[in-house]
Amino acid sequence: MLDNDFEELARNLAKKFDCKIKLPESWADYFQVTGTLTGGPGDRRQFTRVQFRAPAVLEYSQTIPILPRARGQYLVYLKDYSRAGIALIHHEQLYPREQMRLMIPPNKDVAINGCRDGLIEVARCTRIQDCCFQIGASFIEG
Amino acid sequence: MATDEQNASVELAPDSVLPVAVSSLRASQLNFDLYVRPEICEPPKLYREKSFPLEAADLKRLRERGVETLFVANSDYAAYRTHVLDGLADDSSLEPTERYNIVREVYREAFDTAFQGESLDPMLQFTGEFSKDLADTICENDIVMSDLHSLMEHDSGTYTHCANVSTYSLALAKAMGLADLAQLQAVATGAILHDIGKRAVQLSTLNKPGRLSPEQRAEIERHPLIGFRDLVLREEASWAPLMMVYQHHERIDGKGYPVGVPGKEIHDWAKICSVADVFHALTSERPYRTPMLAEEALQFLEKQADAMFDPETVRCWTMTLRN
Ligand SMILES: [Fe+2]
Ligand SMILES: [Fe+2]
Repeated sequence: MLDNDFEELARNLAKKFDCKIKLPESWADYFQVTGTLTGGPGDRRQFTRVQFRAPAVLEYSQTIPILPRARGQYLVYLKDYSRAGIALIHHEQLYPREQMRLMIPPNKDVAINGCRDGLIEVARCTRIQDCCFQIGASFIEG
Repeated sequence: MATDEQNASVELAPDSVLPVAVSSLRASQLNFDLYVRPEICEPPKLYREKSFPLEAADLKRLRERGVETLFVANSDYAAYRTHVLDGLADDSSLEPTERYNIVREVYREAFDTAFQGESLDPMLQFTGEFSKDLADTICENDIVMSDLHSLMEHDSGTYTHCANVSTYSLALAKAMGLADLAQLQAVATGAILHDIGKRAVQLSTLNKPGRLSPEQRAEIERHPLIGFRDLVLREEASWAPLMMVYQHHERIDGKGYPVGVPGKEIHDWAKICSVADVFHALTSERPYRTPMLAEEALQFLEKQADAMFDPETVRCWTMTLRN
């Protein structure tokens, strides 16, 4: 497998993690998308975002006190990143302020505080379809 | 008024007081200090120390001078509220609707001040007390909803909107079978906080007549998310009222915001809040249009049931109001 063959990596990880994500049919080329993104109207994100279509592992247990969460590791699909945060696709809804650990595959440009894994905090979540939520999260220092 | 002069040098920081209507005060021995604020930018000055009784002549003099608002320290707000509500309890001649209106009036100015402030704490203290009084008033008295509706003023103020959505949500939750007082209070709390995230939206955008730019629309549509984010980590937070804040603009067909979840993933209380919110928005004065009649608004809700609103919730609301 090539270092950047993330589709292959996603297939391998899917067997291990029982991936529940359902991408829309129109997203068949999800892992082939490259380039940079400019914000739409009202987009408050201040840094340029770069497409990074790769699988990653999200790990969380109790995130915010009033929301019970079972401990688990989940396969997620990264979408894009900037200096401040990352967007990813997950099978379930996450809520603002939830914090969790994200483990990302090697890529020379992307790191969370210089590491392959680190803490993120959910900033927003939008539903694409059943079992497909886009999560915007910021990197947390330390 | 000797006490004015004697204590004129006692000052409080401008953000440590809440306004109270002179009309809500009764001549009696108060157990809270009263302040005046000659200019909005000046610190509040002591007007009447609690050891001096407030006389009817003092109230008359204030009215003659055109003073409509005095101030109490944040820490004394509960004592002020007790003063007003005790007066209500003593006055058996009041109709339930009048009683309700006074409860709403007690909180009006304090709400607007707390809502516009930077800190959430006065707002949360306020909502807890308001919700309790509101739930007590509505549950103890047999207020007819249609009377209550005709009583609501038609203005676009934040307080009027939040207080009315809270009242409507409470009545709707009751009509849908929620009977536990603590739960009804939680419904009232969630509803009065439902637009708390609008504190972060510029007033020029909120009150803009005419079309909003895509940027302004996006800014307004962030308010449920901001509200949720501001409240979720607080010790007293609980899930169902929070969902009223986060999901009141979600739609049954999944085309709402901030998440776009469909009906089965929208909390029942958020469905209640959504109906109450749109009903009040349609029947109140807005900068850009005249209010709808209650019946017209009910017909709009019925037409949009299945797409925007939960049909069962709409049915319950229309029955409550038409009866
Ligand atoms: Fe709202
Ligand atoms: Fe609202």
